[in-house]
Amino acid sequence: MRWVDTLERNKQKVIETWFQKIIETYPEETAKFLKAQKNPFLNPVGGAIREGLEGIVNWIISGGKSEEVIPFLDRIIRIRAIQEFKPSEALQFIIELKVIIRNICSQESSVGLEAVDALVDKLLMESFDVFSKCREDLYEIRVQEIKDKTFRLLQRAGVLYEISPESEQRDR
Amino acid sequence: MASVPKPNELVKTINHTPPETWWMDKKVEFRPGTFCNASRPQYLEAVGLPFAREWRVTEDDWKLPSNWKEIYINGIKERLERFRTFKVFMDICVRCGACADKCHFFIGSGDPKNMPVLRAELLRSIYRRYFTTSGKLLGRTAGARDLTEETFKELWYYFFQCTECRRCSLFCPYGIDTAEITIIGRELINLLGCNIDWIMGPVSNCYRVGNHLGIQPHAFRDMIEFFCDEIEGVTGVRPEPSFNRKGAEILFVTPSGDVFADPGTYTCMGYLMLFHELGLDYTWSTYASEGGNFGFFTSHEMAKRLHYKIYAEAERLGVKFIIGGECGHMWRLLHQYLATWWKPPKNLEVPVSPITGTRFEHAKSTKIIHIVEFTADLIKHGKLKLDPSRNDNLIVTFHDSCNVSRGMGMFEEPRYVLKNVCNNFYDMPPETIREQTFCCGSGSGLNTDEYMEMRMRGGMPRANAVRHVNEKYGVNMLACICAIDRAVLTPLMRYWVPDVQVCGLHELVGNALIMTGEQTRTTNLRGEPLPGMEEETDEDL
Repeated sequence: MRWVDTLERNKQKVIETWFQKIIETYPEETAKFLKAQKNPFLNPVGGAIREGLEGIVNWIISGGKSEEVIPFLDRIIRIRAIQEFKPSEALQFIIELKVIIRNICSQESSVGLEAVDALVDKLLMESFDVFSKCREDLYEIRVQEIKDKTFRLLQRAGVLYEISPESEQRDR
Repeated sequence: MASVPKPNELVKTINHTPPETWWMDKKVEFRPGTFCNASRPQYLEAVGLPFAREWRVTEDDWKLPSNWKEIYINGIKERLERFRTFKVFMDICVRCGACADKCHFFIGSGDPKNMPVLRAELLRSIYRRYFTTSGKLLGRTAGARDLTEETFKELWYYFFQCTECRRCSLFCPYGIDTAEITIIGRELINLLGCNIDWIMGPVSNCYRVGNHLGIQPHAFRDMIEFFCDEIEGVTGVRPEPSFNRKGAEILFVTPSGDVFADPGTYTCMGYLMLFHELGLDYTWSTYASEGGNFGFFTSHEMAKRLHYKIYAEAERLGVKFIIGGECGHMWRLLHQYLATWWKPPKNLEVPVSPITGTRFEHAKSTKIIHIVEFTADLIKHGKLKLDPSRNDNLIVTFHDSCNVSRGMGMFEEPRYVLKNVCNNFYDMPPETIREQTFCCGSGSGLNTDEYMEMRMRGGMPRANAVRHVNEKYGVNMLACICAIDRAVLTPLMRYWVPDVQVCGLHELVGNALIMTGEQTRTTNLRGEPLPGMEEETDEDL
């Protein structure tokens, strides 16, 4: 049987195992909450992780052909990029997927399992981009906030003489 | 011969769980983005707070006074005697955990010390050690611990990770108000001169000049005049507001954020247009030029002290009552504290709307009403001509600001106004609004830029609910009635839901309001073309 078929059949199991691995990177009390509370509005982090993981596993099953994986990576990484993780810790969960799929799929005779490695490597590369984008967004937002706070005052004080208000408004 | 483990056996030995450390032993790490900067000494000196000095959060030595422990413990003692609530809250918690998962900082950060029960436990453990027999005798076994520089730093770190939003208290079976614990926790921090720059700057500016930014009267007036120019450009009608006018019927006070920071400025234009259209006999004060009160994030005394300028101006100008602009914590203070602080000046009367005759009985003790209740009353009595289709390019949702919703119970008025000034309004899921609303994540004086990472964590549950209505109904505008919200939800949306902009309620009122003698409007207050007017505005350009 092709590994993709095995994976598709075991999709929920893969997602659950992967979810468990991710929440174990949080303190014990937090992990319990992330797992137990199923309402995505009361547990947005747990909800986003589940949603992201499902999207990523579907992408793997589709053979990684679609470009649609970035929003799902973003769902998870955008959160981890602003939590108490180093970049390596924030993205470690991607590598876990190799082991999880291997463990689950190798229990049944699966053909061509090595293809998973390349797909997960591709995911990891995309993840670096997503993580960097999130941190860049954060810094950009900080700068923008400072500008917003002072723009009107500088405008009234005439300090923005060299910048036309129209162009500044457009840029904003 | 020793056997070599197989790869899959090696994988099993990797433990992903963070190392187990008893919470009392885990030290705080100050990472940039997760703490606010220390206050500059001149801000403390300006309002006479003790131990003004240069110090840095990331340095080991916080330059605490030599008898700091004594000051801190005496501070607890004094407050236990003074505030019955504090005493009860220190003793009564049974650690049932009902509050544990209700805090936006816990949900967004995953840090267990942000569970309200544990955050309060940081202080309770000190209380037990120095004020209970079991704690004195049994120490850690009784949940008590010594006050050390490390524990003080931890208390400091986490009391600035609570926005005093009170969502947790809603779920506490004993009614423990964690916000009050934070308020006391911050007062104790102040005894050692350790407040943050973003709170003490506005406090000292407010005390000396009248508003958070330290804007002087001429600049304040100039800014309002500038808004009148803008309004004239959009509507052809020019409001003529007055400043410091004696004998006006009403004094209007709004957070200075509305006067100086986008997008609050558009809300301010909305106020000006509304009052002009009504022909309201009102005045601005360039001295009581701030509705916000960061004294509330410093100490009870400081909040009381900073508030007085509003009553002093009301007395000097001889007005009958006060209308306050769209602000959050201003209303919690007025609603829950003011009546026990100051008696209103004798010239103030129970507010009566001069347009509808409605008597605002609930404001009997303070003589101050919220502009949203004033406007809702006008609409209910059919006193405003509105064209909600001018906001048809917007699909709006409403963020209940913690202080006005949970703090005051004002849920219906803003929604009533919204439904009358725009045609597309969708609420967020019920468990995230009204009394259960999620905080913006930056309230209580934490809206500073160096704290951006933590703010994104704290605001995540709110943003998640906005994301839902954005995806489901195409919501592109998040309305709110709080100046801090207007300032902080903007970056929050930029990070989590970039399609959504932020506005105040009266910006939408200003757009929809049909003014006497106005020209055909082609743009909204932001200068964007009105629906159906895209071609006209192109020609203008």
